Amino acid sequence: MIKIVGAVVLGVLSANVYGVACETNPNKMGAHYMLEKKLHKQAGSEALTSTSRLALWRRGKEVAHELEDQQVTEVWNLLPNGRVRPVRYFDEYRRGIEYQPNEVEGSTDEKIWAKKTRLITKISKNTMKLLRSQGDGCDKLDYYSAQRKGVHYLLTWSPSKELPVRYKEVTQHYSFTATLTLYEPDESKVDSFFTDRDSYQTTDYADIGDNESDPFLLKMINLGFVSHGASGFYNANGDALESASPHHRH
Amino acid sequence: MDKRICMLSGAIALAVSVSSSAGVLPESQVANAWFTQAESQLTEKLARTQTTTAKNVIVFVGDGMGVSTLTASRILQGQLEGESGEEGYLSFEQFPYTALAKTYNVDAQTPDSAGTMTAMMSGVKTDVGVIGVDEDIVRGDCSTVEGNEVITALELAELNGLSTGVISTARITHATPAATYAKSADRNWEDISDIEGDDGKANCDLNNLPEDIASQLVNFEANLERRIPGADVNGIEVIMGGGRRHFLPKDSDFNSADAVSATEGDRTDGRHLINEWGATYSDGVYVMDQAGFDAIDVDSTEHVFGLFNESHMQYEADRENDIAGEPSLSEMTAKAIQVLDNNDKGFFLMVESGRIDHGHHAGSAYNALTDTIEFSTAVQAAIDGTDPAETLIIVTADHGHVFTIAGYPKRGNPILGKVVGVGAEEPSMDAEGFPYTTLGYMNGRGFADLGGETNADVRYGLAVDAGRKDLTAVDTETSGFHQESLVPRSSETHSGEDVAIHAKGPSAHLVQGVVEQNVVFHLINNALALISE
Repeated sequence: MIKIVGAVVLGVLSANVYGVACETNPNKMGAHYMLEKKLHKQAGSEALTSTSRLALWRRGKEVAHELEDQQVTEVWNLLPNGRVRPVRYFDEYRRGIEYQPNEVEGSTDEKIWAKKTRLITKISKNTMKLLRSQGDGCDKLDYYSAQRKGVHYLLTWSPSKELPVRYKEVTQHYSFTATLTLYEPDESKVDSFFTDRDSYQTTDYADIGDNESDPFLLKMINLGFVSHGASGFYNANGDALESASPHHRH
Repeated sequence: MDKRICMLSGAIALAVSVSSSAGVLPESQVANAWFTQAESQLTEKLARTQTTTAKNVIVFVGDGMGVSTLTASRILQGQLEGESGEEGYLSFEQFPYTALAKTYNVDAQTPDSAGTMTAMMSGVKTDVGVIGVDEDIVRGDCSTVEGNEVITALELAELNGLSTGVISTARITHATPAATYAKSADRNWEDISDIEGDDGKANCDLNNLPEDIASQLVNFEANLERRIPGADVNGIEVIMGGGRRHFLPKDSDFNSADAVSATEGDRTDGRHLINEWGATYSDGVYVMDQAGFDAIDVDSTEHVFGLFNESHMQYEADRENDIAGEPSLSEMTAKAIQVLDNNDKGFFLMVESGRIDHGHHAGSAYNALTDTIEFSTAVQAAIDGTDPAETLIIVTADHGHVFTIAGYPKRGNPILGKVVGVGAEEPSMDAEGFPYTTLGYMNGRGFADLGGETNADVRYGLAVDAGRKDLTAVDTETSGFHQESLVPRSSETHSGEDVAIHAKGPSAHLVQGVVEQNVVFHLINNALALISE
């Protein structure tokens, strides 16, 4: 935990020291998060902490969630008609599945693009109370809070990056924390990220039924699609937040 | 036997039959509508005459359109028109001649589209997954293609001076349309990147990979002239379908207006095949949307290249959601005929409804049946647009699906609904007290209730959920309902049963009995006398 906080501090400090945050393009960037979910000790069960990593990548009308622990990347393209087209890449195998627009639950929702790009929707943020703001210009951070139905929400928001720097929700039974650990403004690295995925061998989902002689494809199908953000937190109240991770610590 | 004598004797036989029954059968039976309608059908059959030589041949292929799909589609079609449904016909079910085709591939009991369509186009059954090559091929083995290529009906039509066309709602490089023009050791080698990325390929010269299917389509004329010494053909006149990705460089600068990927093209060799086609056919017209399609001058246009989607075209029920707009299968069929019939020598046209198969794979009877109904409309467009005396129309499928019509629903029961028995108003219950649907699948992803969704492929985004569900509160007649399946699988599968062949026009009378699927080629050849020249 100390390392995470340190990284966040470093991230914020680097922006302060070099003053370059505003020179970056919030529509073309990368942001690495550490996600932590703690299940509090209950009668009959021990406390459980799980962590996972999420990288958010934006490039114009493309947004990606890189689920680093699962070696899976999900990319969404915003189409001219407002629909969102998802592709799921299996990074370990350099293979991908292409969905048509609307082929993943939720993608018909126009808000899905906002959720994927900002992690916390503007609507959700606006339902929270602005406690205070700190810093100026590019370094400005807004601190929000909300309390609803037994859940306490805390959000630190960077208006210039259009990103949460820290998001936390706490209940009697668990807490979920997402912390920005590294901000990547280098556009060449963003291009490299998307170009690399684009080079994977991909299959249109409609063709799966005619290609089950491909054992790897069969395996991917049975995995299903990661919908509703297995670790892509994009809600302050309403949509499910999960923080699945194979890395459990007791 | 003299044709007139044959007809006369038939008429006498019918007259005798009616005369003798008139005294035995009660008036209520003879006057019964079922009785008289069936009698009329027989009279029509007795009055038939046959001819052999056709000027044009159109082959319609409903991909995955098994017999149960025909039955369910005709019922749905009727019910959408306010009828009970069972009594109606799809357009081609009123054709005078019908046969059953055995669909197995050389190496498979249950076939795929590549092997079956190769059989229909060449007269030679072959293996699963290969295009335009015989059974001596080894799938994925580059070295086994040469010497095992077959000549297709479309190629023969070209060599005979006929105009030719290929239409599909799938990618135009997909197995069924590809089998009319390409030779490939693997159906998935639709563009060069597919070959490069295929870890299963064998004996391939990495510096000289075999020509991918998209390239073969654009180079069709040159390739055919190279293979056949002395040949001089003018290329496929009408090409319409989806699959733009396989014709464009992997460079977003070449994206079309309605691209759904950040980079639409897949080609890693930098080739822009649409431009290459345009250079070869300087008088040709390339179209990519409804507006371009509508603007085609059918009287003056000699070559048409229509690629209406990055991948497959839309399901008919979902077509209005296409970004740029795309024509229906019936619109493409009508337009193609108007272009092709400018050739006095005649034409050969293959029309595939490619997404019936995809609807079934996704476990959506709604999408499969509504695409079948549009397929029927496309056949009607062909009937309306051609002279029946000179055009053989063959309608068939490449294979079926594990799609069933079950239970004991009463007459007129909604075909997409739950089984309601004869005399009942409430759904029948299974042994555990739950209602069940008439339509179902033997295997596949199983139940999903997606409400008003019109794209079957949404189902793939949800987990496999096979087995019985409580459908009490579910509206199974909505477009987004996915039928239950017994065996859980990542997708529903093809079936190994026979498929129907329906035919009308010259040589159609040869369509009868149970035949091997590769007989279709010989029907085409017999009508057009392709090999004799």
